[in-house]
Amino acid sequence: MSTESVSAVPPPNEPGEPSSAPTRRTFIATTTAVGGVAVAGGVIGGSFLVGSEEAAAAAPPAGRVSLTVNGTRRTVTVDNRTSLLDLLREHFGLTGAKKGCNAGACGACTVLVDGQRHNACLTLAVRLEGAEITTIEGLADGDRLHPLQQAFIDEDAFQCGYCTPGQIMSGVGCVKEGHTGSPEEIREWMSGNICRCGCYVKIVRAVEQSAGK
Amino acid sequence: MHPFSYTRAADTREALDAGRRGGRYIAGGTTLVDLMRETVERPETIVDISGLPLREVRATERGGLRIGALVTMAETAAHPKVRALYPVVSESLELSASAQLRNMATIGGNIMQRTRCTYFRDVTADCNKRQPGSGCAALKGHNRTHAILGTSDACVATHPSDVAVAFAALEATVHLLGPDGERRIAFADFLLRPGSTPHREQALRQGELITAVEIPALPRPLKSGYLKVRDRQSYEFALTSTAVALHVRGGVIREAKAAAGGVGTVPWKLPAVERHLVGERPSAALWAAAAEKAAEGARPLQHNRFKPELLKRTVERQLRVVGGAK
Amino acid sequence: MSPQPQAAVGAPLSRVDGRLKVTGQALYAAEHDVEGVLHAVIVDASIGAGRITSVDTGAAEQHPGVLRVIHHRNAPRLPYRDNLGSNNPEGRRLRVFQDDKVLFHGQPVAVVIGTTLEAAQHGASLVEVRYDAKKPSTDMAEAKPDAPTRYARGDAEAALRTAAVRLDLDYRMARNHHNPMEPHATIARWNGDKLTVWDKTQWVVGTQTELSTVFDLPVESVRVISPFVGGGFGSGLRCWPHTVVAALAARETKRPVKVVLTRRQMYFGTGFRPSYDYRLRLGSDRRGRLTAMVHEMDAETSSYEKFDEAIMRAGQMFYSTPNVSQEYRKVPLDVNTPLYMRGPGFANASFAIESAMDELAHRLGVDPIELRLRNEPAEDESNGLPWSTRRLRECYSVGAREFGWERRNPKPRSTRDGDWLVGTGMAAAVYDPGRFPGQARVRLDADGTAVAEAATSDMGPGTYTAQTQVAADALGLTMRTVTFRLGDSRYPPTPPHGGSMTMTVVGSAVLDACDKVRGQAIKLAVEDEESPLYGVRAEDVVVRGGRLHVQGNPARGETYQRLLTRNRLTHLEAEGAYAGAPEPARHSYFSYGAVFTEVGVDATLGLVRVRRMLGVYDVGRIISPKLADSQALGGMVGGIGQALLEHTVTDHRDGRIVNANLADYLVPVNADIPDLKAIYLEGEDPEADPLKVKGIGEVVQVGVAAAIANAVHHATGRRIRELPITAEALI
Repeated sequence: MSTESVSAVPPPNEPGEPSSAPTRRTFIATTTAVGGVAVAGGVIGGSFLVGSEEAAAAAPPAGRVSLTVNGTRRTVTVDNRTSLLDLLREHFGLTGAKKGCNAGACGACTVLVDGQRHNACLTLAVRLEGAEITTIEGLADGDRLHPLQQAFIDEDAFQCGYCTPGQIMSGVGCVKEGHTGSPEEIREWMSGNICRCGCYVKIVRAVEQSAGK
Repeated sequence: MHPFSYTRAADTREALDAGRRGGRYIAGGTTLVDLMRETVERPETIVDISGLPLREVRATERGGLRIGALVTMAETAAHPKVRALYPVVSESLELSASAQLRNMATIGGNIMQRTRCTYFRDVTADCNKRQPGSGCAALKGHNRTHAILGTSDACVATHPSDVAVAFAALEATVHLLGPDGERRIAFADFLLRPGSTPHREQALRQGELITAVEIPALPRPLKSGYLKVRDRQSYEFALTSTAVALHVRGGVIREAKAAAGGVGTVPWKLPAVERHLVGERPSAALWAAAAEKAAEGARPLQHNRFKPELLKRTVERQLRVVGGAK
Repeated sequence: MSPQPQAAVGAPLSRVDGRLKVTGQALYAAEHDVEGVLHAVIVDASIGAGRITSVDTGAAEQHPGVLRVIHHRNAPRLPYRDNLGSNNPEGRRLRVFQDDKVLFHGQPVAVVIGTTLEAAQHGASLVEVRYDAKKPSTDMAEAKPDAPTRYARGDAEAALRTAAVRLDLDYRMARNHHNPMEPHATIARWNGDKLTVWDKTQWVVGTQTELSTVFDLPVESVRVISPFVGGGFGSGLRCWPHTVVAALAARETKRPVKVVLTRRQMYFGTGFRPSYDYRLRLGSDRRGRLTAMVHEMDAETSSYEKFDEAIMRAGQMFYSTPNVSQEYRKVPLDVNTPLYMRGPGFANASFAIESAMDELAHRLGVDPIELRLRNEPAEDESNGLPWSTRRLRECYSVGAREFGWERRNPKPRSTRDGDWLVGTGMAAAVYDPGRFPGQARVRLDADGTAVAEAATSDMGPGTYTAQTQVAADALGLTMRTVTFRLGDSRYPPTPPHGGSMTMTVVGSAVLDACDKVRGQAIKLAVEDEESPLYGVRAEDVVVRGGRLHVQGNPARGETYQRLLTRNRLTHLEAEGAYAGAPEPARHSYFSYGAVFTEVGVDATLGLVRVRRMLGVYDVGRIISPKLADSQALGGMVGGIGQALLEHTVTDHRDGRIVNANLADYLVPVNADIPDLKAIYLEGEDPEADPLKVKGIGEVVQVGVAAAIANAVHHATGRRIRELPITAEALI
């Protein structure tokens, strides 16, 4: 198991932009370097260190959690209220998992938790001690796409692309669960992922194709 | 979401201690986290019980099946014993929610689900269930998906669970563990009708923990199945649903179990339908006559006047599917 | 110049941005990593109309991580200059936090800014707003409409009185919400007086001008960036209040601020397809030749803006009818303002017209296709113009053949499959694509690669891919060596990415720019003594694979790279333009289609399920067939939603939308969708535009609802004139 390996290099700034605050990426690297201890006066689990103006009030309840995301072990202190989805998107910079409804009604946030497809929006991050999370960013093998990712491109199984990471992660789960016996079965077992562009016919083809591999 | 403290119970005793002090148990979290985000639920302490040893499905000595409270919906549905003995349970689960949610949600949590009533879920609306005494906005509001059975002037919200309908039909028992030890409660007594206290939803005492749901032994062969009627083909709560189980021997129905969902403030057992069936020979006429009893006592609201008729047809259809005899 | 060989255009290519999308690397509005960003959460009015009497922010401000609460009492006054030429409808747009008035349930009344999302969210729930509420008017049936917009030719009422066959039909269509999967979101950052926003929008230029007028900034001081749009269907065609809130909050806190609407806020924070009451009266002779059509249309709008859409157009031009009269009345309600949604106007009008035509066919005992053929107009009878192309007859014949229409027993309730009554139905589709001016810029570098840019968007149809195809062929380059950039207000301006006009407008501008660059290169070569092409007539030179050569003699030529390098040029560059529809119009120009479907209706439970669907389209030339196919199937899915599921429900007691979420506002899921098939008629529309394309995105949803309703009638004998069609209407 590797340790934290997120780059501490901040993204390029516009000329003339203030650059006093570290980015979320540097923050994560910083907290893990000190063992994920909450920074006094800072926002716990927040995306960056904050100045004294914000440090006045007591911090909301938080917890420390070690989890593995796409093979990288991360130890962070998170606000108890933080969902896995917000942890990934707002703190880890992993925006592949999408927020579509934030209520378990669309599937855009689907990731694998210990190998099973889950809705990250309804998962409290603080509960994930020891969990292994796989997101869309961790699916490809280096430059080689996962067969289902390739099938989505080949079948044109998406348009806007926003539900796509959730569809693919759900599809990986669906194949793994063995619910790919017929197009009807795939349709039912992929119904937890809404595609408003209406790419269902091709999503079914892509899942079918990758199940055969 | 309101701030809350979080503890993880290492064992049952720790869980009960925390529960006694007012902690809210969390298992799959699919209802609780959702409602916390809407600020409908504002627990101060959450007690994570997912580490407790309640994850087993096993046959009971009495010939029934005991499903641990922390077995997920997906695991329960796929369990070979559940599939073989009680297809109605597997079907009701697999017609619920989505594959993702079924991987997260547990059996104990499922029967603790709270209503999908839009006014309950919107903290700016009046709701006696959420805020006793504030009134029921649904009664004269938009109530297409609301209950027609077991309602009161205080509340017309449906219980949303599908598997609870199967449990109600099969006359399951809920196993509880509390500060005073274990007890069992009939499923019919576990979920409470609203009456004048719609905020009281289960017959649970402070700090009590659901440990299992037990389905009793039923005479074999038993045919069973679940039908869910909804606008959308999948990923939607029921407009109407029904769980049916029939034991037919020598061409005569010896035992009949039936309940309905989407129509009641609690999963709605259909004793009149059951009585009408027992001792009779399967026939299309019998199914129709029995189903006629399904909506007895229904009190439809402005937007769900179609539900009594739809319920009868749902039951008739499923009796035919399970019992044969077209 | 010689026409260029077409290698990329028309080829079934995969999306050029596919890899970014399947790996999670495509960045949508809320995902840009803007340093030091704060989170803002909007507080919505919990009354439907009235005034705010007090705002208590004490508890919110006490919450750790909450930095600021802004509301009408402490917000600075904003200039809100008029914004002409925007998509803002006539009226006075909502001005955030500028006064105490509440115009609709859910209106933004405050914003909480925090250092974390959790803090801002909780802070928002702690803001206590008190109101002086009054009962809102949200029920179209009880509200007073505005004076109608009218159209008339002939004397429709008189013709109706004497018609041999008369139908008088009332249609009701529910309000629909776009519900793109990506919630609307904005990140705003100020640098002095310059504002940059990362926004979900279908029109970066529109958001730019709106923000410049709201804050009274020079337009060039506002930059809008939107490289990926997670669906839109129209919801991103104007700049909404939350975008102003983000910019305001950023200015007040002097930090970048991110606002992401919740799914619930999407229902009142962005627009919707208004609900319609549509009375249609038809008169025909015994053979089904229409003699009169009278359309009376009432549609929702807000109390503060008059939303207007093309609901009248189809009734004026689609069928040959000597006598037509129309009244379109907007009904102002205490709701937020509607906005164009996929197939705007036409998707509603066609439900009424195409359902009514099916009724007429049934009444007369004429096949529905035959009835349509009998009423096929020779020209646009509303303006006397010839059609550019109108290949509906082919749509019908190809569709009928592919679908197996001739096997259809016209008698309703004639087919059963177990518990399911099976029926088939068809409907025609039409849409009037926009043709507004737009621009593009192309740069060909000395390394033989090119970059084309336009301030357009790609909400899913595949703008990145299709524009790359156009540019690649026009420059004679491979797909791999051309990059198309969009979604930045610094690029040449384009009209909104909607109304089925992106291919026409942006594509024609890209084509123009590329033709110019290619022309420059050819001129350079034929005048360059050192070029193998020296002395060749420019019109005899073509470019293929980045190599200029004599047409028919590939051996004689050279590469761009060599040509530019030898001439010490780093690049060639040109701006291109599309001038818009010709004035005066010489043709009447529409996209067309015919939709065929088979549905099952559960005989006792009343459930409707689509079993198969086929669409055949006349939309001119197809640039990107693989993507066009997806777009058509997506339009059918949208139409299935409109027909069977989608319905925004308002509680008229207080104006609350009761199903403002994706569990209760139903859109189709995978299991609702059977195999769908789309066929595009081969060919092009030479009159349409330089690319000879007509738009696709809208027409593919038009007609679907009527085809389904007609199939439901065929299955059951029941005529349903209200959308969505639900079980209670059929049991």
